[in-house]
Amino acid sequence: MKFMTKLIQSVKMAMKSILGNKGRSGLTMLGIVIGVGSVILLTGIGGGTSKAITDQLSAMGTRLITVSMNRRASTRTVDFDDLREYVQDNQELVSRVTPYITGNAQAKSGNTNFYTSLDATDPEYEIIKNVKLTQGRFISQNDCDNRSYVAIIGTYIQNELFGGMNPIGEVIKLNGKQFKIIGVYDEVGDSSEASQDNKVTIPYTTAMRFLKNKTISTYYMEAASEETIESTVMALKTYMTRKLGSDYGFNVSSVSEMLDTMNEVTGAMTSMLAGIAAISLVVGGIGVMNIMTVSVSERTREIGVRKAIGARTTDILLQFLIESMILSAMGGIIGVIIGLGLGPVVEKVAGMEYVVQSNMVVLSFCFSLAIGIFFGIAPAKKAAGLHPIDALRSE
Amino acid sequence: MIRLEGITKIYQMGDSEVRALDGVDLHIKPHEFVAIIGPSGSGKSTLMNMIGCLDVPTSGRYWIDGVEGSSMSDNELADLRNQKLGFIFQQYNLLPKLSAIENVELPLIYRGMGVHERTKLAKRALERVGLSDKMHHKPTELSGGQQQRVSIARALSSSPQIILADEPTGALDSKSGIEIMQMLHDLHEEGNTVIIITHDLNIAKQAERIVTIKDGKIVDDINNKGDKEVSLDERNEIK
Ligand SMILES: Nc1ncnc2c1ncn2[C@@H]1O[C@H](COP(=O)(O)OP(=O)(O)OP(=O)(O)O)[C@@H](O)[C@H]1O
Ligand SMILES: [Mg+2]
Repeated sequence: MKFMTKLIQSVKMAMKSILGNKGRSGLTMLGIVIGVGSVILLTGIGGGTSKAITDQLSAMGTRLITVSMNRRASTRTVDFDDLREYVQDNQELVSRVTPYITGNAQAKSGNTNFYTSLDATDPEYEIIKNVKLTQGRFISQNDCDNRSYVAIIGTYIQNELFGGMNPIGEVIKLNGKQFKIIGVYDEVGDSSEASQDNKVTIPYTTAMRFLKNKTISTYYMEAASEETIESTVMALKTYMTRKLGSDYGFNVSSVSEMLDTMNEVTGAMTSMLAGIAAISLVVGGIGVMNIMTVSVSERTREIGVRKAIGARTTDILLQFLIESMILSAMGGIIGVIIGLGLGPVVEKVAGMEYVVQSNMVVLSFCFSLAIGIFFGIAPAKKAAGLHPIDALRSE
Repeated sequence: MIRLEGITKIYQMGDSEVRALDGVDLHIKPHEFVAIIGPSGSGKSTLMNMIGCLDVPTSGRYWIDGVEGSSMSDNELADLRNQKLGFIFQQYNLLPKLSAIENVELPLIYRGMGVHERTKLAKRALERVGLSDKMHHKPTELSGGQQQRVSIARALSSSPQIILADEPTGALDSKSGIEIMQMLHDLHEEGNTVIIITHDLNIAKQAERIVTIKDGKIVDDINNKGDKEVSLDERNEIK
């Protein structure tokens, strides 16, 4: 009870002294404000970046597994039939497999011609990669069986060759061969030449003949479930190793694995940013100590008077400690407000995603409090240890 | 009540030492009104700081209410100052950022008293010194005499047994000085022990007992109860 009364009184005294010197208090707080604000801001940007990457990867499908082979590594190979058989036999692990070939081609229609990226696959691709078309259809099994000369084009080609009109049934010349257009992809980029909208997809069987490419080096597979994806990747690696007789020359990776790696990387980046910002918080703390030390020597006489009329050592200690704590706590609160408030500004101005890391808000605020105590102790001890008569005599 | 035995205070100033107090023996009984008088630099303030437990002697022993000073911890000394002693300084020593009533409340705060009780006591103390209407004024908004009255109110707000005043009228004009002295007389009438330090013989003469100090030694200690005239010799000595 007695202690509470004294504590409340100490808080009141501290507030009085802080508000009695607003300019100086503000400047003292500034370091803490900037420290806390930048921790929140930087981790918010880190969180936003991480979210943007995660979203992009997740959009690729969290069940996606990529199997790629280095042709020169081994004389033995694993071909499409092997993998199809594997999927047949291991439905509890993987549900689908699709081949994937990439290359370039010169596209031509009438007088216009340009280079485009070309890929080739089969109908399963549409499901595994969740392909979206605006018009027409994707490659069918028939197209693959018959090695049909059909193509799905991106919006850049649609605009470039057909002026944005419906191109279904029209013909496009790829490396001099005529392909019938059967579908148009959704726009994924900005429809420019350098974007992913400058692409064409054909049946993989057609491509193997057309590109004179006898082997397929990449396969996409769909894991049966997201939960067991790690063991699926392991099982596939074991299978590939057995088939190829070695554990190199191929690579099996999953999106969730990539996600883990990404999260590790962005996590490390965020901690680094937070660490740098925390340094400014410590510098802010030194500012608090500085001002508190000045304040103690300015108020030596006041301390003497207080001691003369019966203030105990702990009373004086508490008074100055609370003052430095309140200073940094106020700085912390303003820093939190600024850190949170700047989020939308960053999103607007820099076009970055901003995801506030609530644990960082709490952590940086607590850190600022701790700094107030830590850096307040030395000046408070100095004040409390003053000899009453020496303090009274000082001018 | 207060007993000093062989109190010596030495200040070391480089090679030379200053004996501010040199073997002082003094016994002050309850309800006494004592004036300590002496020329400048004789050690009056040093003696008062010793009595007020603000300073520790280089050697010698002292007792307050039967408890030996050197046996008390800093906190015990702080509590003793808070409960038994009331200080009045020549320079008032009010806290400039606090209003009159807040200054008066301060000793009560350190006693851990609740808001209601201490505001009541502080108001009463300010009433006694006739400053009820200036309660919320800052010290800078008060005259010197008024500031000294606030500091008297602060000293008596916690109803201490002993009032220690170090040249309370030193910075005041004679009219305010008379007012302040009247208040000290009243406090004495009410049963307090009053110890006043001065170099003004006219003020010293108002006390029951006059202790004269010179070069850190007590050179005279006379009873002044019967309004006895101070001898011419003594007067010269003081000057
Ligand atoms: N902190 C100190 N350091 C060194 N010497 C000191 C200190 N305090 C007091 N003295 C010396 O001790 C002696 C007594 O000082 P004190 O303040 O007690 O005198 P005083 O009688 O109160 O004088 P005054 O009437 O001028 O107030 C003086 O010679 C003074 O110079
Ligand atoms: Mg003096």
